[in-house]
Amino acid sequence: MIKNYLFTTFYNLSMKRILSMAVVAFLAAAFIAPSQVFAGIGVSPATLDATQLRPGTTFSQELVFSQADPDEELILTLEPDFPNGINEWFNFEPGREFTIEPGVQRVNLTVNITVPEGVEIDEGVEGAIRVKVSRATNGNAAIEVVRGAKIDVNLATTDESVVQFNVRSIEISDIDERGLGQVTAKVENTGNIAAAPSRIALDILNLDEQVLKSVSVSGFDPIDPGRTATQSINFTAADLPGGEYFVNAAVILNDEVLREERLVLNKVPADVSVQDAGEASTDNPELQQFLAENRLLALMLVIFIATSFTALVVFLFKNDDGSEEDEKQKKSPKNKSMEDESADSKE
Amino acid sequence: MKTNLITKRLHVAILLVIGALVFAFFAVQADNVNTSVTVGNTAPAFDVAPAETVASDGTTPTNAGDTVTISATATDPGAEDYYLIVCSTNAVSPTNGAAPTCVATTRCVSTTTTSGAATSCDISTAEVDPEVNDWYAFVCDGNSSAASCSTGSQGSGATGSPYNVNHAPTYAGVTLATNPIAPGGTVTYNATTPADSDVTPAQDSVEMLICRTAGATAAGCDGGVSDTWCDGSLQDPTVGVSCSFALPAVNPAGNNAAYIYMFDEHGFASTSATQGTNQSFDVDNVAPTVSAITLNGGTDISLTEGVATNVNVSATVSDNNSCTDLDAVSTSVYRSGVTYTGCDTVGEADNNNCYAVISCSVVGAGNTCDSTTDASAEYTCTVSVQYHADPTDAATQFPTENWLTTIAVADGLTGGTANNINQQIGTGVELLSLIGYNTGASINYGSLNVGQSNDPLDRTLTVTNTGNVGLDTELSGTDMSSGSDTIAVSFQEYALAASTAYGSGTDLTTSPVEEELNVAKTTVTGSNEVGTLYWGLLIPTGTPPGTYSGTNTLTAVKGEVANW
Repeated sequence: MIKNYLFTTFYNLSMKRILSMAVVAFLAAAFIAPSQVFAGIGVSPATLDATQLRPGTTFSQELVFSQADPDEELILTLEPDFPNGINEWFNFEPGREFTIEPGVQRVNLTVNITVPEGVEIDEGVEGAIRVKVSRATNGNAAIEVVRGAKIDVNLATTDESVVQFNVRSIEISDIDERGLGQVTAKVENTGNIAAAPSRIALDILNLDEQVLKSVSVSGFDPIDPGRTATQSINFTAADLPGGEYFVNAAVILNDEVLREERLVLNKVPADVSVQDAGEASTDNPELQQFLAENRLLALMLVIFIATSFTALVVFLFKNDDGSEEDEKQKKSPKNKSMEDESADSKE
Repeated sequence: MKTNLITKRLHVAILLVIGALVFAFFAVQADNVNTSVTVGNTAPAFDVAPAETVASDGTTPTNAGDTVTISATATDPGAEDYYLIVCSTNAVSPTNGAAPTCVATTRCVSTTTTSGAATSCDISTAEVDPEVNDWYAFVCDGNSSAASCSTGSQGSGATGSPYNVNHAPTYAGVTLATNPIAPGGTVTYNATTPADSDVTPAQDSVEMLICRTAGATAAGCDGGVSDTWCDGSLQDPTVGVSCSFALPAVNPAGNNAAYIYMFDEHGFASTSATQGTNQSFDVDNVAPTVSAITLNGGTDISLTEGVATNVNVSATVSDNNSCTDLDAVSTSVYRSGVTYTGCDTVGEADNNNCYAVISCSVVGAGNTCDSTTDASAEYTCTVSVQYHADPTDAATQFPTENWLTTIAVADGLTGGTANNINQQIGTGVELLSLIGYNTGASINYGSLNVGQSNDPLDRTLTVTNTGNVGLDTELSGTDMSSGSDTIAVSFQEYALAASTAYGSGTDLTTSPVEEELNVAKTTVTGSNEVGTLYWGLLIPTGTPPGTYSGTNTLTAVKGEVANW
């Protein structure tokens, strides 16, 4: 009885404790424990300066949205914050609001600012673009926190046409099967009107630094302000023997060299095949080269071998046939009778 | 019958008479005389004039050490055997019963030769012989008592006297005009005191031949064109003898064997001590060069919140000793204010401003390093730049700076470290400011009765800085609602300090208000700077019971640089 009492008491006491702990834990979880943490977000750059806007033109700037752990679907909203109707100048790519799917760590955005004709902002205006990031599916929290980042924007207009570029890079491609090479320049228009560099010039040199040929190309399509475009020129290398060459490439605006680079051009020799990994190499390259250089001799050699082989075959078969024929003739009654007659005559 | 007999007898008689008459006539004419004579030895005579079997003259002399063969055919009137003897002068002494001898120098003498048969004898030549050598040929018999020789003959034309001995060219050795020589340069060997004593009909010319391996004749190096460094032209040794050749523009550094040979214009090889020996030259180990350096493809660097971003560096490295001569290529990426000097060792690495000595490798396709004749290769390097690396765009700590990269190349070990070079990019790129953070997803004010509040403001929202700028915040919100019932946004308060009493905080508004949260810029990877916002809510009188919810917006703002 005492035992049962003690057991019941203990049991009941433990249950109470258990229940109490559960309530406390619940309350703690509800009220004391920290709220659920978002994965982080990032927006770059934090500042956008467009202080050479030309009325009637469009200026573009790239932004990057990033997140270290892209584990949920998000809705991104871009909101310009300017007075006097300037908000209407803004246009965004891929849009003012769009969805970012899970798994996407970086998204490139483009801000396009189209300044109406006749507008003047001599002293400039400061504003912002607010990037708001909300979850596609809300939780049941009392206060949902919407995250955002503010990009400071400075705008000013000018009547002057500013033509300037930043040549980001100059690269060269391999010679293709047509014997054509290509030099590509990545050019950013940092001016305020659509324009292009005057020309791209090349000097192709051998390894002794002797100029073999020069190429100059102009007439590139204009690049919109704030945009970056690749401008390429092709040149023929079919007249160059296989080997390595230097290419001095320059991007030029009027008489100013915006950027120049020394590049290396490789051309595989025509009589050398480009081998992929795993492809068997030639066992006797000297013989191949010899035959390639003495095609007539090689042809004659082939004909001789073929003819000899044919003759040998004919010989072998002719002998066999002939032997058979002889045997047949020998065995033919006619011949046999002639032989008998001959033997008889001899006798 | 009788008549015939008579006729026959008559005929015989007549014949007898005639015969007798004849006999008588001759008998009257003939004398009876006894005779005798002594016959002398006559010298043999040339049937075929003496001649050099191979012409030896100024145009085609005989190399010293070779032989000059004189051949001839003679007949002895007495059918005696004869000797062909060649002398240096026109004087010979026959010898009874033996071979003749020359009064001066015997060039050569044949063995006994049957009269009427051809014969020859060989003249041995030597370096000590003069260039031009007269000869006189005689044929003599070996009569036992009265040996006799013909008069001398010098033959005629090219095969006649004299014969010419060609002497080998000489030189004391060779010197290199310069050594070592850079790839693409000219290697010049000069012979020391070259000489050739032959001057008939004019000074013999000589040429130098230089081979990659031992073995050569006047026709060239044994291995042919591929074995030949230099096949010089004929030159006057009294003026000088040299041989020059150009090195390929791309040539590995190191010692190269060069076997020296000299021949005269007749193809006679020198026997000087240097002949056929290895007089090697050295190709200099030249420093490599770097070109076409790009950092992030020439584009400004835009980082990723909270994690590292791979930034690519590429460059073309050229070495005229060939790309195989390159030992190691690495890059450092750094804020320009740090300079390469502050970022050229691993110990100087700092995730805020210096990524030092990152290894680079040759690209897998395109400008690869194919062989020892390939001068250049493109290298690529991947640098993991952390999220908090220093920005250099406007309104940051370093707005006048940018980010640069330097390519460091360790040249081949053969050159030691003397040819190690580094090259900085010509134009850097900006590293853009990144507003990055994470924070709580919600604020739960708990269960409050009418008139109750969170006092002090005890609901926290932590802002963790995962970008590369200092942070402030803009705060705004909406009314809380439960169906048609609302709690105005202004009943929410926030503060930047803990233990702020409700009523002492800042009322939340629907319009963004910037607060100086002053979260510092993170400077230690993984140890992010934080700022805390404290929140509270008052339930105003008359609020119906229910579960109320709303939305607050926290917008991160780039803070003032001074507070980073």
